[in-house]
Amino acid sequence: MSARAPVAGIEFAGVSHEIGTKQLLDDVTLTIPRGQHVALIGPSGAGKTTLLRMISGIVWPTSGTVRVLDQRVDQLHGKRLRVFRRRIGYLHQQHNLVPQLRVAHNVLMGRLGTWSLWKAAWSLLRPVDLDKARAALARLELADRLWALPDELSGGEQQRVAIARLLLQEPDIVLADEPVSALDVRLGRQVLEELFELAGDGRTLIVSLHSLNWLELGFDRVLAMKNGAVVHDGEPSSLSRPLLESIYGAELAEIDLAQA
Amino acid sequence: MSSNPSSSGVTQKLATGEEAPKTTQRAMWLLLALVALSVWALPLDLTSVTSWSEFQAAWTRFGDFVSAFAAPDLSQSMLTRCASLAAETVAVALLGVAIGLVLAYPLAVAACRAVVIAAGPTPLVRRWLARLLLELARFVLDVMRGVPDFVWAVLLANITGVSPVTGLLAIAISVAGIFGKVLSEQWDNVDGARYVALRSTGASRLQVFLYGLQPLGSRTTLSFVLMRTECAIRNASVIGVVGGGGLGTGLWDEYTDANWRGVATILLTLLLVTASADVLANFVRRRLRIDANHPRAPLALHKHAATRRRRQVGAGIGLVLLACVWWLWVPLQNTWQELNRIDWSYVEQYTFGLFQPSWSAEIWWAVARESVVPLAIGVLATLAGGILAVVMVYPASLAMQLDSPRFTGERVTPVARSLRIVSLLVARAIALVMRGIPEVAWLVMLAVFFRSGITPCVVAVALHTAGVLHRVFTEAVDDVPYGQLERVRGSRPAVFLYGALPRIWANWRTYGFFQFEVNMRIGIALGIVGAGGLGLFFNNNLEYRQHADAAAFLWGMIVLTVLVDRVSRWLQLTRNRC
Repeated sequence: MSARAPVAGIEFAGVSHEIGTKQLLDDVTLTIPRGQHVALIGPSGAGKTTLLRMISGIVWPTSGTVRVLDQRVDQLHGKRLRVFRRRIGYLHQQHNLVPQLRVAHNVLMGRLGTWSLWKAAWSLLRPVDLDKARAALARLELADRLWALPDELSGGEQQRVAIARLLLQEPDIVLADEPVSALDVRLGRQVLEELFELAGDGRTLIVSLHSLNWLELGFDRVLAMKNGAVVHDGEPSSLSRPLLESIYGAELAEIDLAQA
Repeated sequence: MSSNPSSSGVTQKLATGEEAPKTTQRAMWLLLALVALSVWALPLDLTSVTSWSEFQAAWTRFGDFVSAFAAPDLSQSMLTRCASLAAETVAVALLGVAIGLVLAYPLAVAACRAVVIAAGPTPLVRRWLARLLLELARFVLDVMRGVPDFVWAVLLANITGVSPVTGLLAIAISVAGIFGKVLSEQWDNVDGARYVALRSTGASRLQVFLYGLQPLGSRTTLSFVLMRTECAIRNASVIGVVGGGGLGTGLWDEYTDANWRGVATILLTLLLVTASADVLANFVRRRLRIDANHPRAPLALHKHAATRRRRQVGAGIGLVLLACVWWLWVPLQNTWQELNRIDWSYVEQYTFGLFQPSWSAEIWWAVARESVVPLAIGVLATLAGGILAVVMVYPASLAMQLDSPRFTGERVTPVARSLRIVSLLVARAIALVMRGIPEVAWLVMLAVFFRSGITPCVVAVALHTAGVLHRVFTEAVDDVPYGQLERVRGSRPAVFLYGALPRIWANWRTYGFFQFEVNMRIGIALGIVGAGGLGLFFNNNLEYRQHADAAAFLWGMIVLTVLVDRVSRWLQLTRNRC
């Protein structure tokens, strides 16, 4: 846990989310203090993505309240919502980069929340804050890819460009939705370590994971989800084989296979 | 071509494999019913082909006309006039498209749901205002698009007079309407998951548009712009018939003077201009590799090379537009002076008059009745043209004629190969001429044979449609990956029928339906030059200054376009293609 005092960062109270008859989140209540590094696990369709999106103000609850960074996210709109979103860094599973724009622009997107519309439009022609983008890419050892197109990069490089964007965004909370599920073990470790480094200075980090191997990287806490509900909450060491079997069911064999 | 409703229920049944023949059958019956209705509704006069004496008379008339083509007027003065008219036409089209694009952009942004409507909790008033803006922008686009460019020219001619500037404005407005719709739909069709990352950086919706929607949805924009430019050149060349200057005005002058040799010269010039635009646009598309169906993926250019090329292209476009302005300088100045002299209270009265249609039941009954004419022309001409195009696809297909050894494994003798080359070139040349001659020009020629009326109109639209559809149909066949064709393991016809056709059938249907919409608007436009229906009634009322009645017919056109558009959207048949 970080040096900072554990102030309430994220609070869910009785949160549910449904689309039609499908229950994506089912009465979730949880608190994540500021600075905690949390792993989110569970089978596909458990509601991990919905939970993360709700924290960042992209999805809204059908009932219950979501409070993040002392603000009611479910009531934010307009400019205040955009200011809030700027403080939440989000690394998506895919489609982080816009393939038609060069890496420089993709990284500079992290500044959009602080730019006026005109500055943003102008930056497409003559990139603004290019030094910051260059520095962020250099930190991730991608300095020479500044003007490449995303399709010229490997999957790992693309995820690192997305992390460079987070560096420019300077968020208070970092969310990552299966950031390494498409990468091999070596690259996956590299990307996750970058994320930990990014979150190192007292930022909250929540990472949803497909592979359980990554838990040993130093998470403070594990949340396990199933059918939209949080079914387990504790330290990584608290996970046991029978527990995992009850969470994942038949899918566990696949995960084992993938890890082997 | 114009039917086959596919609701989700039907799709589900299709998936179980039980209902497929029935839906096809139903679609066929629907189509047949539509054709029967159209034939019944249109006063088709076929005596020129059904009665022997009439047929002979028609041939004699046509013979005179065709013999003029053997000896077109090639005098120095005529050639100079043609060259100048052709340059005027091209300038009108290019400037029109440029202005149309500039007009379309802000409207398209305002008509894009993803930009205007916020997701999540928003105060009710703000939500309503956004909705209002969206609907307003869409309505403006509908009006701009719903009134065909011909009709815009007629309307504007009352203010700006008969001049190339009228044609230019008419093209700009209708191009803006079409672009606005297509662009906003392209942006709205971008999957939300592809720019959710951008939203989560705290970017505003307009910023998301700039960095996300716009680049993500622009894959086919350039290709579409080229295609519309090509269409605009065709339309500009005929818009003159109703007062827009250029080749059309010349054609109509010669036609009303019954100077067939002059008509022949202008028609040949027209063909030259449209065919070169056709070939040139295709060349540019291939060159830039922006064709949506191009098998090779676009090359990733180095940043400096990309910047350099962007500058070159920008400078080129700028120079061309400057040249257009220079060429049209005199008419532009004239229009400017005209506008300074104009009685603005008249313009105001005239414009507002068009928004106050007559509400008499009689007029609206006439509107409904006359709407049938363009609809029926659309059905018959699209179907006939489509069938003609389909027949010509096989001999013109690169895959089937020249590349077939790559997927059938056959050996082709040099003689057979040269025969195939001939078949390919002939079929493509015929199609090029068919689409190169605009509908009105076909109408002028066919009216000699059929006399005036609705029959030459249907045939004219059908011939042009065949040419237009032939190209997209053939492209679709040629773009099926050869690897997929190889799996059929059969002769060329077998590969064509069982390998290519099933893959592109839906594609063809989409193009066909889009062409139906275009043809319906052409049906309105041709009415102005005498074919009847909405266009004729509108024009007559406008000429006799019955503005309220003319307005009713104008709004009839808009309602008809919007209805067809909504129905096609509902049937999921639209496609962003010219």
